[in-house]
Amino acid sequence: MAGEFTLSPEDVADIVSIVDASGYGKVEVATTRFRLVLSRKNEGWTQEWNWHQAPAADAPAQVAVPAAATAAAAAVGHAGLTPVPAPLPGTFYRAPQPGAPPYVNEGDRVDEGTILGIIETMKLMSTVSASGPGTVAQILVANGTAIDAQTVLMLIKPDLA
Amino acid sequence: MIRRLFIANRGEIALRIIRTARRLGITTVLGCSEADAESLPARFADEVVRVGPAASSQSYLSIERVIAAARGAQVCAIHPGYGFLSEKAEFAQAVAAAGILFVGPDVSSLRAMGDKLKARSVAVEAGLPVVPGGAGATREEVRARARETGYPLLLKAVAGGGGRGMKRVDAPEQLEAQVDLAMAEALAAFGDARIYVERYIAQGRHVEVQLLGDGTTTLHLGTRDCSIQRRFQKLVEEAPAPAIPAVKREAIHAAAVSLGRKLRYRGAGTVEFLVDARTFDFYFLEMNARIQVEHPVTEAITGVDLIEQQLLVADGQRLGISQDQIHIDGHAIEVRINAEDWRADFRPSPGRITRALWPAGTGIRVDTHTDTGALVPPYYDSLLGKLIVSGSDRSAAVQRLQQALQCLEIEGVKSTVDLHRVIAADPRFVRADVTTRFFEGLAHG
Repeated sequence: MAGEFTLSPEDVADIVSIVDASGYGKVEVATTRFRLVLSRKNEGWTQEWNWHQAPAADAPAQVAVPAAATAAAAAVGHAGLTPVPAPLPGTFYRAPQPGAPPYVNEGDRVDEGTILGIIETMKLMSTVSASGPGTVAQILVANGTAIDAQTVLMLIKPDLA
Repeated sequence: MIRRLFIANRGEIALRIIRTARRLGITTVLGCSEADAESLPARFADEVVRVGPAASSQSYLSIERVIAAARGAQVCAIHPGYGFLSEKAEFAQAVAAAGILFVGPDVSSLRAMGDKLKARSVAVEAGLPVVPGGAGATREEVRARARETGYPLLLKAVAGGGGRGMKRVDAPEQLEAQVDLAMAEALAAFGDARIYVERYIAQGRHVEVQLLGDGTTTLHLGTRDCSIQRRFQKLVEEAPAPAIPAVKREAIHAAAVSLGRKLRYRGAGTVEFLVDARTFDFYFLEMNARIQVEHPVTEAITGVDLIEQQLLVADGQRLGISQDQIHIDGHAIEVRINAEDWRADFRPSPGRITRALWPAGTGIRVDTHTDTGALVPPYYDSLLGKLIVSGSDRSAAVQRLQQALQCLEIEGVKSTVDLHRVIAADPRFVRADVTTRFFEGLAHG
């Protein structure tokens, strides 16, 4: 969208100072492209922009949120197996760095706290660990895949208590 | 004259660059990843080119893909923003090789400031003070270093890192015992007994100077204080740095300018100093050879559009202003609103923003790419936007900040909004008594 800003930040400040002197508590500007709501709050004013409800006609096609891995994983039956869900959305890695051997492979023994993989979220790394002793039964998500929170990453066959 | 500008970045800074470019009549081409195709910068840019998939390694950080996209778009210049490729000398070189102008300093400046040890030696050559220190391989050498640095001092393993084996020595009589211990530990841990001796600054502030250069002239636009940090990430920035005696402030300005002159610096850059909060002695830390996240506080107190000056200089023109035209007027404070749960150790919180209410009004500037309904992808940093307030003096700015934060609401993801309410109300912040250890003393919870 070769979009004009339509209203610059200075324009918004001007509108606020005009309506601030009036008795109005709310101003709403809506076009086919955006909606702006200015409201009084706590001695001041808030601005709320919404460009997303108004369809941008020539904007690029909507991009799928990383959902690919979720549906497939959720459909798997987990009979007798413990699912390992992703604690955060992000990118799932099976190894500490590119080229390094994976933390675990199918058939590996794990204990409580064994690192199964890492998830990179907003440039921070979080580890995913096993919750108890068992064997890696199935790895459902490939290295480097974008995942949602709660995506089942792998299935663990727990040791019998 | 730059007519078509490629923006090799995303988020609020991409939008910020588009704003100035549009005002100057420059056509913008945004190079974005697939994950950012519905972002506000993608809606506002005149043209959009996909540089690659969501992962930055294959999009924003890929020199090859960014250059290919920029070539394809037939642009005259590339603005790298901050982060990503902005300070990579190989990128600047590849841009030049493609016959495109790089909106940033010369490759030589990027090289000189890109390596910490090299930057330190260039700064020393330019006459800047650095934190006194040096390495010693024997007990005698360490003793000699300690005489040079003075007390209190820190002993660190040369081969170490991350604070391991660090020892603080407050007085000369404690040195012998601590040196023996430190050398033994360094040898055991790293197989290398060498010790680095460094002056310990108990109460330090992070103060930086904004520079603009055109290769001939170097100007400064005053100081910023960015002491409030956690894990070396800035949270709050203000300009000018408060409560610094005029003589010391002038000396800090002059030091920064002499580094800029030494480099024959072109474009916008920031020289960072560690300032002793009690003596106001200052030491060069590093130089950031790019636009910085916190640049708006300087714009607020000088009225200079830093992006515009960057574009002018990149175009081979002289700076549009001179030192005597730069006046510091009032005070400005910026807070970074991040998608993080600060009560859970700043755990990242990506997701869909169901509601974004930002403050509006006089003395308030909001630089953000997040509106109601925006998606915050998990692949990039957590910055949702910046709230910048200004006032006639610091107390007016602080008051405005407190009020503006009451008009800021982000729903759908966790954010640092309420952390900033806590900071803005903290008596140490209100009286400008802030050091880099501010966060340790914050009332959590």
